[in-house]
Order: sequence, then C-alpha cells, then structure tokens
Amino acid sequence: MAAYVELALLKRGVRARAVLLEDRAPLTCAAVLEGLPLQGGVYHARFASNEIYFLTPPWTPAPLPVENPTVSYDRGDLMYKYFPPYYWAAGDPAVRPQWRRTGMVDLAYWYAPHNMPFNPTGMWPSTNYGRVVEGLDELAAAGDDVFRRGASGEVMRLTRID
Amino acid sequence: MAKLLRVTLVGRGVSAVAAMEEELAGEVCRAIWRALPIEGPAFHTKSAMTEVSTLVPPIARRPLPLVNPTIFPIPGDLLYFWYPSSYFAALPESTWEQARRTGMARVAYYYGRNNYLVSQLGPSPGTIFATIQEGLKELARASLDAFRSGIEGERLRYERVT
Repeated sequence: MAAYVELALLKRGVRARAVLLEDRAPLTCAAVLEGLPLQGGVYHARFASNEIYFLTPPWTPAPLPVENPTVSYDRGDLMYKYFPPYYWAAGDPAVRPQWRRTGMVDLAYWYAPHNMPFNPTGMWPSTNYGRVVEGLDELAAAGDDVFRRGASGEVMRLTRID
Repeated sequence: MAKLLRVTLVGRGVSAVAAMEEELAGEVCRAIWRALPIEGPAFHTKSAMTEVSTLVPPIARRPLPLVNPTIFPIPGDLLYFWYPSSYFAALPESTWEQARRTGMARVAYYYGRNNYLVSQLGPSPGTIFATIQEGLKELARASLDAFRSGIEGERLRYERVT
C-alpha cells in the first residue's frame, strides 16, 4: 500500500496530502517516513524559482544518494536535497551554527512549473520523492502568497498519515 | 563629475545613492537620465539571487543597445533590461496589456553577492548603467526584509539627485 504524508503550512493553515514515490526513491522515502514528523521555518527560493522549503539537520547516519533525480520540477513535486556542512552557511544567520556542524537537508515543494534548480555551481539534481495528490490548488496558492507577502513566521511541517 | 541618482524603496523609506556610469554605458545612461523619475511596483527575483526590480513601459523609442553587459552583477550594480512584447508568459493584469503592446523595460539593483542572470533562455545579460556609492548596507537590509516579510505593495523609485 502506498504511503502518504501531510504537508502543512501552519501560519497560513493550509494542508495537503502527498503520496511517496517509494518505487522510484525507496531509500529516501524510507528515511523520510522514519524521520517524520519534520518541520522548520519556511524560505522562498532566490535561485530555483517556485520553491518553498525548510531546512532540517540530517537525521540519517550517512547522506542518502540522489534517487529519481530531476532538475525540472513541476507544480506539486516534493524534493529532498542534502547539502554538506558549510555549503550555505552564508544564508540565514539563525541556522549558521547548524550548517557548520552537520550540513542541512532541504525539504521542499514546488508551487508552479518552469523551475530551474541552477545556481553558480551549476545544475543541482535532487531527489523527487513525493507528489501532492490532494489540496494542490490551496498549497500552490499559499506558495505564491509566501512569495508576495513573505515567508517570515511561516512554518512547514511534514507528518505521516497512517 | 558623475551624475547621481537615488534608489528608494518607497514603503520602507530607505534610499541609496548611485553614480551613473556614463563612460561605460553612455547611450543607456542618457536615456535613463532623461526618463527619470522611474517608479513602479517592486519585485524580488526568484532566480537571480539578490535582485529587486521594477517593470516599466519602454523608456526610449527604440530598443537600446546592450552595452557594458553582465550576467554576474555585484552588490550595488544597477542594471537596465529590455524585453520585447513576445517575451512575457504571465504578468499581473494591470501590466499585461502594456507589455504585450510595447514590451517592457526593467530597472534592477543588486543588494548582495552571488547573483547569476541565467534563465531558461540562457544567459540573460543586462546593462550596468550605475553603481551605488552610498547607502548600500541600509538598502540591502531593507531589501532582505522586503523579501522575508513580503514585498507586495512596495514600490521602487529611481530619481535624479539635484
């Protein structure tokens, strides 16, 4: 039976349901299920376009390989991406110590098409491990609202649905 | 002495002063100087990293040449872009009609480093027509605040310093 997660933006009160792509990204899906619930402060991308994400310290003993890799994310896709220690310590000062110690896992959803996960280091393929199956319109509208009215104070949460 | 212009985030009441790069971008500088003041809704980039810009109707009768070009703007650079009417896929209702009729100019500033102007169409250079001399730190703080707490309703204004 397929596994599902709930993706919520707590401040905006938006909830959506996503299916995990266990056949295409088995290691990542197993790790995500084991790691849930996961949550963190929301950021909007400044390179990759229509990406809403939070950062969390890696919770697996070793970095996961990239599975079901893509650089052409579509509306409703869920992304897992590991970044090594120090990679983006220049970002939010609030999470800098964590960046230095452990690196970070970036857990994201994409709220519109035509994305380009591309920065000065080149393309960064990552793991597409899930897909929103319910509540996508509301979640997409909330993503656009984060862009216009700001990510500040928003929290994204992933929980398991049994 | 170089001509000076003021860059202001109107809602936040924060300004910086920039010097025109007339020796490097003469024709573009003259067209922009004639067109000042230029003001419109402020927009934060989703792909170029630390860019705030405004989209306005063309400031010259025909497209200006691409001079003093870059795809790697540094903190404090002011860039001019022009897009033909066929360029746009989606815009707010209020801008759409104008854009389809005349194309649009875009005037941007960069408040931090690691900017990278590459889109789905490839390298997308703009003309560096001025560089900020004073107030970059304050403008950078206000720009990041606009991004984090919501840029909707914010306006960007460029005007002559007399």
